[in-house]
This record gives sequence, C-alpha cells and structure tokens, in this order.
Amino acid sequence: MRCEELRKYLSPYIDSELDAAVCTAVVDHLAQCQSCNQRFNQEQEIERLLAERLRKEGMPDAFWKAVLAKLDTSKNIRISRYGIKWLVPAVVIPVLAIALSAVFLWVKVPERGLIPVVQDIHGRYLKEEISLGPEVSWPEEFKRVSLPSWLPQSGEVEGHQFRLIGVRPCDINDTKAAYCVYECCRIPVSIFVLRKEDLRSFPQARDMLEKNRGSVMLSRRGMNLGMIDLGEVVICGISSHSIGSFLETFKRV
Amino acid sequence: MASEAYLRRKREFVQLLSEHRDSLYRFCTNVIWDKGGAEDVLQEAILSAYKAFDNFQVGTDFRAWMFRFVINKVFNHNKRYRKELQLQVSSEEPDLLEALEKENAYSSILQDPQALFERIDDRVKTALLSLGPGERMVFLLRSVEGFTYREIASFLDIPMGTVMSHLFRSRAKLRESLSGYARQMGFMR
Repeated sequence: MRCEELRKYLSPYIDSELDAAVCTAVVDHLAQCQSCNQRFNQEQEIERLLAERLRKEGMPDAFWKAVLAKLDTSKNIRISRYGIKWLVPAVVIPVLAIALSAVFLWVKVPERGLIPVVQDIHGRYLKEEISLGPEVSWPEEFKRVSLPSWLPQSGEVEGHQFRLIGVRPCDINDTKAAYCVYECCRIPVSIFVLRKEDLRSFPQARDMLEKNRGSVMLSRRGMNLGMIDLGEVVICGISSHSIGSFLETFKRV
Repeated sequence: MASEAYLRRKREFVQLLSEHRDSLYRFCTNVIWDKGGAEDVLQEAILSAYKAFDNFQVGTDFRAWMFRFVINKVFNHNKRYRKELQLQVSSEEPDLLEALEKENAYSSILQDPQALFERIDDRVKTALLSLGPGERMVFLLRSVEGFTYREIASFLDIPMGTVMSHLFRSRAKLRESLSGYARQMGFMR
C-alpha cells in the first residue's frame, strides 16, 4: 500500500471500520512508514479532542426532573393484555408448533458443528451484517454466572493492543452464547462464551477439548480458531489475527 | 391505580434512560441549535419511547433503541434534515483534506493539537455549526456517540457509502475550521 492510498483509509481506520484484508494492509504500512504512522496518531488525537469537547455537555437536572414529571402524568406504557384478539394466535401457534415438530422428528436436519457456526458469525460481522454497540449485554441464561467482571476490557498481549468492542447474546444452533467482539491490533476478533454444560450440543468440539487437555488451536484458510476450557465456561475465538496468546488472557483474569 | 407491572416497567425505563440521558441530550442540542426546540424534540422522543417500552427487548441495546426515537423526532421537527442526508456527495468535488495538507496552519495543528484546543474551547461548537445537518448528525453519531457505520446507516435510513461520504466531509470541514481559528489566533509554529 502506498502513502496516498493509505490516506483515504485513515477515516474508516480511526473508526475501526475497515474489513480485515484492508485493515491488515494498513497495519503493515503503518508499522513500516513512520510518517504515515505519525499522521495517523495526529489525526486520531484531533478526533479525540473534538469528541471530548462535544461530550462536555450533559442533561441539566431541571430538564431531567421535568421529564420525570412528564412521565408521571403521561399515559402508561402499553403493556400487552390477553383478550379475544389473542385467541386466534394462541390456538394456531401451538398447533403449528406440534405439526412442525412432527416434521422435524421425521426428517432430522443435521446440525452444524460449533466451528462452522462461529466461522459464519465472524464472517457476517466482517461483512457488517452484524453490529455491536458499545454496550455489554449478556444472555438472560447467563445470569447465574457473573461474567462481565472478568471479561478483559482492554490490554496488551505480547505487544499486541486489544480492546473490547461489545457483547451481545447470540444463538449457536439452539444454544445461548455471549458473542463478544474485540479488536486486536485493530483486527476484529470474535469471542464466543458458552456455558460448559451446553457443550453437550457440540460433541465434536467437546471431544476435541477433552483430547487436547482443554485447549485447542486450529488454522483454516487464513483464519485462526481457538477454544479453551475455563471450567464453568468455554471460550471459543476466531480471527485472522493470531489468537493463542489472546485467549490465554481469559485464563488470567 | 397503576398496577405493579406498570410501576416495575416504568422503573426499568427510568433506570435505563438515566444511564443515557447525557448522551441523548447533547445529541439533540448539537443537532438542533435552538435549545428550546431541542428539548421539545427530546421530551417528545422520550414520551414516545416510554409508551412503546413494552416492545423493547431486554438485553438489546437500549441506547440505540432510544436514538431511533430521537432521530425520528428530529426529522419530524425539520424535514430538511432527511432531504439533506440523502444528497449524494459528488465525486467531482475537490479533496478537502488534500487542500488542507498544503496549509501551514493545519501542519501547526497536527504538530500540537492539544495546544490549539486549549485555546479555542467553545469554538468547536461553532465549527460544528459550519457543517450541514446531515454531516453534523453523522459526525455526532460516529465520533461522539460511538455508533458503527452500520448502525448509523440504519438509524438514518441511508446507504453505508453515504454515511462514509458525510463523515469524510464533516471531518475535513471541521479541520478546515480549526485551521481558520489557528490562522486568526496566529497559532503557527
């Protein structure tokens, strides 16, 4: 990548919005070109200072109190009530569910394993078909496990900077998992947190973990995949960035 | 008398809203410059969201959900905003950043941005005013509120390419304003 070419990518690079291939090219260029690296840091600093100035203002207490007063006098939240209009779906849905179950029992659909599904989700994230906000939201089913406290937010592994982008619940086949996206050296890393007990839905992955003493690392078509057993939960990660040392950080927190 | 379910849902709504009140307020007041108008828009958005709160799915992003209501009310407040957002940026326009790079003032800012920002303070808001409403909304949603391009495209109902164009232009224009301030203040190194 040439310096002039890099400049057009600076804006999406500052926003961590480049796809993996271009991002890698930008990272490589910045590592080699001192002048572009300096320019990137300067632009990033200007962006930070602009945002910092514009974040100064907050909601005045008087306005907040007025909002609360307005909520008190406004109509209530529309909460769904059961009534005659719900009667039709209430009858039709169970009947359809029973019929569909019968079809599925008769023609058993082969379930996809853990690895193809996480590859698929990571690919969809890279294609921006899935977005994660800055918030951390865990599956309801994980409530008994106090996970967010040990989830690393940012740090450095062997000179590679990483930071958490967001967490949201996701379904892997029918299993609830937490889908976390990190960036390591600005390259997206997808991390899936599954409860150990749910691994029975993925016998292949469970056997691999057992045979390899709770730690599996694979590399397929430029993607690195890893799984580690942390006792109560299993962490599965995928990225075009090397992932072994990154997954080890979950053991330390 | 309000039932226990209503009160519980109301408490949940107020709790979630209080976590994001500053973010929602500053977005409205930065997009709509008339403070009274901005507060009316925000209050209307909050009331609409409150009435629809039963549709909010627990575990999803409440802030993003709220921003949809706010943006919708902003569009209702000023129809020009939606029209301006959908304008395509012509590829024939000169590269603003390229022109800026040749300026001494911008080079001086790059060398020590902190020093300039310490001196200009509230002029950042004035620089924001120099942006068109579409550019301003996209810049605020991305750079100040941290939403992804995809989320912004979905909020504003525009293609991702248009988000990127508005963002690129807003950044270039803001830097141009900063250079102007640097020149006025004799901030040269």
